Amino acid sequence: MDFSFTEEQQTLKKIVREFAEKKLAPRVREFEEKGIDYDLVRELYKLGVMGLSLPSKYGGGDTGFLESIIVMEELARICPAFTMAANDTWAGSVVINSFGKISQKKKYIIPNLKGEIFSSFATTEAGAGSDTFSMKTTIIPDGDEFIVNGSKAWITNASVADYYIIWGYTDKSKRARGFTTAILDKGMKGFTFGKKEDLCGFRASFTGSLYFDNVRIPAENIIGAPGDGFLHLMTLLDAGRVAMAAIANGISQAALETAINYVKQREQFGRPLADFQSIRMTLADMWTELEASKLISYKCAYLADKNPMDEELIKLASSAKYYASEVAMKIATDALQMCGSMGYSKEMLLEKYFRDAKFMSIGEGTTQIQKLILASRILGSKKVIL
Amino acid sequence: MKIIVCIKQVPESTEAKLDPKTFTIDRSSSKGIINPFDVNAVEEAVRIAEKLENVETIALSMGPPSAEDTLKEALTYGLDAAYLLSDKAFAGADTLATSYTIAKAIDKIGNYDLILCGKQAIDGDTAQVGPGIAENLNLAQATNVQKIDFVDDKTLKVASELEDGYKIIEIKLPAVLTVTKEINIPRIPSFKTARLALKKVIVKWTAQDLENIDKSKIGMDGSPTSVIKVETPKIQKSTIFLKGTPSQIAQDFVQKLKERYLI
Repeated sequence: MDFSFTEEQQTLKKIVREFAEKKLAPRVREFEEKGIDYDLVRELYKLGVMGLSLPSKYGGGDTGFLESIIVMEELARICPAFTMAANDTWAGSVVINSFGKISQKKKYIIPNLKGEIFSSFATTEAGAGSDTFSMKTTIIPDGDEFIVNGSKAWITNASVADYYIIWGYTDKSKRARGFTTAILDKGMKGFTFGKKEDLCGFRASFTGSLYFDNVRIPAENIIGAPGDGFLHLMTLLDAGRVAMAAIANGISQAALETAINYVKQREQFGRPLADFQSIRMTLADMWTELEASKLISYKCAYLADKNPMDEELIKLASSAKYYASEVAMKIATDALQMCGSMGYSKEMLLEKYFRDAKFMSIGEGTTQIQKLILASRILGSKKVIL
Repeated sequence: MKIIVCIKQVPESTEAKLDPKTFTIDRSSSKGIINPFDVNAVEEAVRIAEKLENVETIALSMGPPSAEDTLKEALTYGLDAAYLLSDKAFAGADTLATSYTIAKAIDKIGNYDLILCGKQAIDGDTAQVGPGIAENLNLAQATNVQKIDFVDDKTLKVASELEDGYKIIEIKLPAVLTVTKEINIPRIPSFKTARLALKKVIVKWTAQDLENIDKSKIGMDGSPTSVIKVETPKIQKSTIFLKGTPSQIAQDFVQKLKERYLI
């Protein structure tokens, strides 16, 4: 087993780190107040580090999933909100590439991977978070169009993205088989947005609601066939979980580095904090947990590249997501504790890592849901028991 | 047009340690990076290639085998090719021997129009190699260049930094220029360019590959200078209190500044 990154992957890591440190780091607090700067997301496309796992014929990089994880870890080490937003700007292309028609690929993926248009990915509703199938959005056929009604909540890139991949029921009586995936373009009549949410962490993210009031979409905006939505969603959820794990690991990395630098310098009782056994014990735990978390996510990438439907991947993706989230919260908490009042103040970024880390156990499937999915698979069942 | 960019692998300065016996940098104590001023030279070469047609850009470095990583990094900016001069015979070279060796390599590459160097390396800080290369090749040179404009395909107009301004020099190609940080802000390499760069083969030359090289002029044998000691100057503070009338104090103060050659 070769656990090292290839030369190309190391180069990618270096490029993204340089971008993050030069372009994002000086503006992290500004982003928290004003939201992220999407011109910087466009710069990422020019650097050629977005959409890496998509085909080069559409502008992607033909790489594996690990490359995308490397990008997300490095960006999230500096700004997790920017990372989530940037990743979501091409998440729509992943859906279309996997399940869309050639005409949809040409219309959306090509300009997306040039950085000309951005996507958003919308499943959650005010009344449908963990319970995805209780969603109320409908996508009903009407001649050669479909009519969309409903809403989505807590959506990244809301109002900024140019096209939105949404899920809704075409026939609720068929439950999972009545689920449909559709593309809505910004500006369609009846498609509106809510305000930017005021969050505890990830404050730089343009997170908001989408409202659909009799939005008419052409049949060509349906991905696959009506009723295919469940399969689409289930196939993509694992990638989303691993992506969130990568972001959580980036937060952990930042918090750990900050703590290490601080305890080397700060002195109490005549010596650096780093000389105290309790600090050293905690650092050892932090480092080990982060390393373990990263390795789980890298293995997920390896499995996804071999076979995205692998049963092992379904277990490991849930494991990656929940473990990375819990580790991020633990490391951020311990790091802040080590840095005392200074860590608690806005003089340092630790209080931001602490706030950002909390989101990781909630978004893209809560820790509790991930554990239930994992447990059901460990016990040999696909049915999740609450 | 052919542009050759001379680059050097230097230790990342925050981590480098000195060998206590030889007073040279213990290069195993920190990772190597491209000398920052050379990055500006690389960027400028790439910008010229993007502006003009038919420009070939080449990186050239003299160093240990690990310098190959630095050349690979230089290629990721978009240079076309890279050459590494690496041989035990080159080791221990001072700026005179280094300039001679690099000039020989440039001669072998041949048909060049422009040689670009960073103004100085951050480990030695001598700023001598660029001018040394020009002298060895009998080329025109301009140092501390912060701007390059093309008058025509054989003539440049460059702004060369002075302490309190700059001078404009017209210079005929082929020529050697050493550049400052002010000349450009280096790009972050694109991953697409980097991927192509990693596939390129770096040409490696030893002393045997450089025709007609005078072995007495390379490496330690070719180095009339050597580092004897490196130390941090001790800063000693002492305060002299001047007494008298304001006029007497002022005269006394001026006299003391003159004695110390400060005015």
